[in-house]
Amino acid sequence: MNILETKKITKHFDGVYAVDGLSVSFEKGKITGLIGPNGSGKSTLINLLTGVIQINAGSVVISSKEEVIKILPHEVSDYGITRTFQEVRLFEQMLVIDNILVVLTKRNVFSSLFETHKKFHLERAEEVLKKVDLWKKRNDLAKNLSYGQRKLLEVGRMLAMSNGFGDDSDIFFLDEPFAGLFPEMRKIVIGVIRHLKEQGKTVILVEHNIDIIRELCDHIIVLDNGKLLAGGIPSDVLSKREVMDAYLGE
Amino acid sequence: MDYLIHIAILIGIYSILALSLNLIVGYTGLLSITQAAFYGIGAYATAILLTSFGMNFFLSIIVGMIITGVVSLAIGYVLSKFDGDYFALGSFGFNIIVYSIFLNWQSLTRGPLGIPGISKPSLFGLDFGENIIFLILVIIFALAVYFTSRFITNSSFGRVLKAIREDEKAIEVFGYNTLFFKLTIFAIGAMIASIAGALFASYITYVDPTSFALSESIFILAIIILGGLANNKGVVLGVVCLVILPEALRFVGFPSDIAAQMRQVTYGLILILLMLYRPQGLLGEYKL
Amino acid sequence: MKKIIYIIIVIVVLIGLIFIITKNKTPKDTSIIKIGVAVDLSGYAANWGEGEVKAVQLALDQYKDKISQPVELIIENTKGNDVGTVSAVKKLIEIDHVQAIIGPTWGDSYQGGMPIAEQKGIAMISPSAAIETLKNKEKFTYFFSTWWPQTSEINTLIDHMNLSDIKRLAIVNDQDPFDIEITDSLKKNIEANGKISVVSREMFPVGVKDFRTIIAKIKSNRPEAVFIQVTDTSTMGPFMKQLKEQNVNIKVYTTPDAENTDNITKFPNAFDGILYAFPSYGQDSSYNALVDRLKSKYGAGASQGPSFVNAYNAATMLFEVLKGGARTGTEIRDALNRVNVPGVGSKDLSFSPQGQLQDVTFIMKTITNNQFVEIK
Repeated sequence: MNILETKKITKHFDGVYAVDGLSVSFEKGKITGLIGPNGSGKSTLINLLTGVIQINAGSVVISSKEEVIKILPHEVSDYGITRTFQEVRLFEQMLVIDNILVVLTKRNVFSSLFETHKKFHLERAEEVLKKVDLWKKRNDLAKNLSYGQRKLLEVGRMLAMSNGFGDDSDIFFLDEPFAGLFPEMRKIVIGVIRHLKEQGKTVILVEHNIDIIRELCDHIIVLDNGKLLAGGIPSDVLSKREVMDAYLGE
Repeated sequence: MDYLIHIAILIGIYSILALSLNLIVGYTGLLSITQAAFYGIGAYATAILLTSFGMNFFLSIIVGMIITGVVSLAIGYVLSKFDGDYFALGSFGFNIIVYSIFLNWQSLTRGPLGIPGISKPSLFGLDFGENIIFLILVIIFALAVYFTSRFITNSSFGRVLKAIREDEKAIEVFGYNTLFFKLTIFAIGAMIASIAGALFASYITYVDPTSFALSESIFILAIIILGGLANNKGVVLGVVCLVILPEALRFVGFPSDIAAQMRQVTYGLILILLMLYRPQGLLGEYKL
Repeated sequence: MKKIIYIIIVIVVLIGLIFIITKNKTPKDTSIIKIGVAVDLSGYAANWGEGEVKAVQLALDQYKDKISQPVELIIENTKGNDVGTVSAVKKLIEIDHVQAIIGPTWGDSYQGGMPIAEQKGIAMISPSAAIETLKNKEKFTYFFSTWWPQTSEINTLIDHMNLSDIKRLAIVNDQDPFDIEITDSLKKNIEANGKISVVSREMFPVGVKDFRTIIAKIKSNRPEAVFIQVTDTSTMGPFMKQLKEQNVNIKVYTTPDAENTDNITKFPNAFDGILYAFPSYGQDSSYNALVDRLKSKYGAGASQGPSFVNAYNAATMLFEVLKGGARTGTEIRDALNRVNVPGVGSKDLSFSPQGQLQDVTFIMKTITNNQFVEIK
């Protein structure tokens, strides 16, 4: 069953089509790899589906129920969607633990001012930070973390959105989460992705490392010049000539 | 002694103002240069209600806060269409508009002539006319504002404000309608500033537009930058320094024909040195 | 680093407090008369305040040997705002224990000092406060002003307009609060007079130098004369020049600020024909003598500021009552209510019951061939 579908969505920047009439679907509970050469539209697609930028044409169907032509960024979590960013976007001058706690807060102004469930949130934050091995750094400022730790914190923040607390996220976009990570840290992120799948969540992973794609993904979508080039199970897709030519340059 | 009480009262009033702006600039990252406008609305509300309608001072504070809250929501909504430097410029423009209203709506504000004869507060027979009693009142308000600010900034709401300051787009993606949060804190900051205005009007017993010009907004901004953005204690320390310093310089013996100018130069030099060696402010950790 | 900052701040605050407390604990030296001078030395009206200080010093030079005790002037900066004015007045009264205050500059714009002086019973004479604008002035018996009664100046202008058979007048002024207030007053008096219609009223921000649109608007209303009032007198030259460029050949009335040699030098002949009311002191030899003393003490280039003569007269009246033996606040106030002394521009400087300098006459003047000339 498809949890998310795009119907001929288009995005252009000053006449340059970053995503061009793209129709793709993402299966519920699976890990889908989104691959393609640089500039193929992968990050643009994620930005469109998370409201960071707006669709010029086409629509998006969410959970087979709602068809939308406009996604506002603050509505994204209502659709059960969350993400990490390609360039790490943490709340730099806040503590590590606050970077997690802030996404656990009630979304309503009044409720957040008189927050209840503080103990629950702290427990959840501890759980998440331990999962990404940052619990010891919880009282450091995010800007003082190393590059790899910052990546892990972003993953942790995204993980906190599956908080088992009513407004759970179901769809997780990870945009190049492994870039620049040491092997030890990669294992942590792989562990998080597998954990999400075990929970029945849907993961969409943008990644250039083909080994990781082969290891983790149930399904692959290949983009090129903003269009769909191929889609299917990894063994099929990665053996296609056009994919090798476009992506691997062979 | 009365002179020291006078300085303490000014510290109290400016602390309230600075804490109010700190919520908007320091914690939320909205570079607002319009706080003197809200300060002025509160002052004029009290001045008009006391002199023309004989209203009780404390009631006039509530009315002033309501008026300021409504105005700030309108201004805040318009300003929310801008980012960064454009927000600052827009807020700058609003301060000028509000100042012009104070100056030109003569039937209400007496324009450049100002409103004199504003009485000191009284409540249930207790008269706050004596400066020492007025100081106690100012301290009570300042403490209330300080603890309210602390409550706000330590709450989950405060955490969201900081996230907005750090990366608004990112926190939006996690489900926060940042417009509502920004409008709320803008209105809270404005209403707190109006309390300072009411106290100012009653203390000086006279208001005129010149006290609420752009230069006052810039002065309040300077206080919070000097004291330390997003640090309530730092902000109060900034107030203490910027109120006491020029007064202390009155006692430094420069030759009388250049004394005033030398004091201004000395004041300016001290500020420059502080910013050179402590750009995050005296107690600040956050840089703009 | 934080500790060092704390230490520095604590030291600064302590030094400040020590000064204050030490000053406060100094026993009042009754052998010296202390007079406060609360003026704007760094704000918007700094050129007014600078002139006021010099004038008071010059007046003291005339009186120091006539008063039985030495007189010390304590000068405080009001910084051109309400808070600065209140701080200056409080410091002078509470810390320096002055017996009277000359000031504040623009006492009508910064009224915060008045209730303090009234409460403490200290006489204040402002050289630049339009008493007519003060609401509830009767509550402030310790406040006096030696600024020109605006009604005298306005009535002199209106009389001249009537004599010149002006029926249609345009008024142009900047948005300085005082200028708005005076031109409002002029408009009100003209309307009450009934012979002249105000056909146009244009306001602009202080410092504007491009008047072409304003002049075009005025021109369309066909006035026979225009009255202009500005705070930044350097804008008068461009106005006069642009009037001529747009062929607007009407009479131009303005304020005593027209007597500005800088303007005449920068815009030669542009001001010819301009009309203004001027206090009659200008014809007085005492004024010329005062200017000579100013130049002798402060240099040939010393500027006066718009309230120089007013401050000199304020100081003269105060020192006269001190010479007569008044020492306490009440004695000084009561003596000021009775004082009658020659000053600059008047043989009988005295205050009305409202504390306003009275019997100031204005004459009409014009500029001809870059010279300031009385219209007889």
